[in-house]
Amino acid sequence: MVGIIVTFLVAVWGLCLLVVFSWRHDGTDKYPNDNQAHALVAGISAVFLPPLDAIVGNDDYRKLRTRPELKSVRQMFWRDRRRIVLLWLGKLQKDVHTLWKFRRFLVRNGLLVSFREEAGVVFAALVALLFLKVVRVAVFIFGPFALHGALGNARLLVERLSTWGIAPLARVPAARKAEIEQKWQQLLAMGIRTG
Amino acid sequence: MPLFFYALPCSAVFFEGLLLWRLSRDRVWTRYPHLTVFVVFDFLCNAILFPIHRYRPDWFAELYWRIASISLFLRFLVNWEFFRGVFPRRSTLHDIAWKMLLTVELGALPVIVVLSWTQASSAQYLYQYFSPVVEQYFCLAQAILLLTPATVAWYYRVLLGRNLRGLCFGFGVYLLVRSMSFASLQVFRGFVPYWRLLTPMTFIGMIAVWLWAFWEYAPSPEQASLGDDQYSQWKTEWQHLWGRTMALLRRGI
Repeated sequence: MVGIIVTFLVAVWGLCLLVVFSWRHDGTDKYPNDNQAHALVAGISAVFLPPLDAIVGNDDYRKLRTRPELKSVRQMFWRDRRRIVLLWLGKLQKDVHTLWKFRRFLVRNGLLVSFREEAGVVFAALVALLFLKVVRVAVFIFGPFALHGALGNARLLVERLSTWGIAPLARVPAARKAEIEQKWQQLLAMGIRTG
Repeated sequence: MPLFFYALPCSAVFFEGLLLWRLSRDRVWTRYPHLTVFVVFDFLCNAILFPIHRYRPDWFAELYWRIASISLFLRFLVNWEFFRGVFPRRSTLHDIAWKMLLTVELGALPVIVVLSWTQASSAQYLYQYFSPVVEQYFCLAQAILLLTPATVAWYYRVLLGRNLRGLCFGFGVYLLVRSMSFASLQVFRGFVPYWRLLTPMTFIGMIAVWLWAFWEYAPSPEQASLGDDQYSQWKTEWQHLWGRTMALLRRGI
């Protein structure tokens, strides 16, 4: 009976995959990329934002808490900071996606990578995305000042993924590198699905 | 036999004939030799079964199941055709896809063997040579063999082209539905009449999808970029391999 259940599950899963594979087969993106104009090679933009303390430092908030007459200001400050942190986390998520796409683009263009490296990048990207999603939910619920350490870790994860993701590019000659970068920019500009 | 049940094999032969005609145009068959072997075999066998059924009905069952058994193994050729079509030359992607395939198969095959070993067929033996359970798990294994390179291609956004897309979709749906229908045979008591209908219809459906896919030569961009010299090199390698095999066989005999 276990075998029959497994057969049905695998078959339904496989049929879903086949439908997904047959969908949007021409390589064009449904939604053109919105950051094409200022796209970096691998899109690592949000991790280079001002220092983390400037975004999630709670010194000002603590000062406001000591003044009960400024309660409304404190609440507004809290909401604004939460919005900023959520926005920043959203940007980090976008960066992870772009980095992942760029990595696939590199491999598709024949850059030498090992199977183990590739599996490591997939794992790291999945962990980073999952972590960012969880942190976003936590920030929404508990506020921007409660998870200072987690936000730092999120940033570290993306930075590490960035280093791993573009590592194969360092192993290619300059001429080939320029060609790949140009191809990537072209794809972004054309709004073609890049990864 | 009711007229409707004649219509099914007739349409299968008709569609296979059309598919072979399309494959023979512009020598497309040289680009997809493994697929062509599978289709030629099925076409000839299905066509031969008509006169056998008419003039030597006592041979029919024996021959039918023998053909079905050979066809079961020949389906691996289609798997191979898809893999070599998507990753036609040695590259990083080819190596990653190959290792992925090995990893998945090393994980999935023992599970499949254990499951098929422990599952007793509650249905009567429809096949003369093996249980329907074997067919069920063979289909599942072949589907996994097909889906793994397809997933790698999808992950890296490798464009497949109409030929390979149709090949993958038609063959994948055929294998998975077939696997499910054989599993249903074990569970649902009254499924046999539907199974008799579903099994040939999924095959005809697959051939129809392939006919659409191969109506014109539309390979993947990677495959299209291969020059004729690459094909002639393959041909030479193949002839060399064939010659060595035949020499070995002759020596053995």
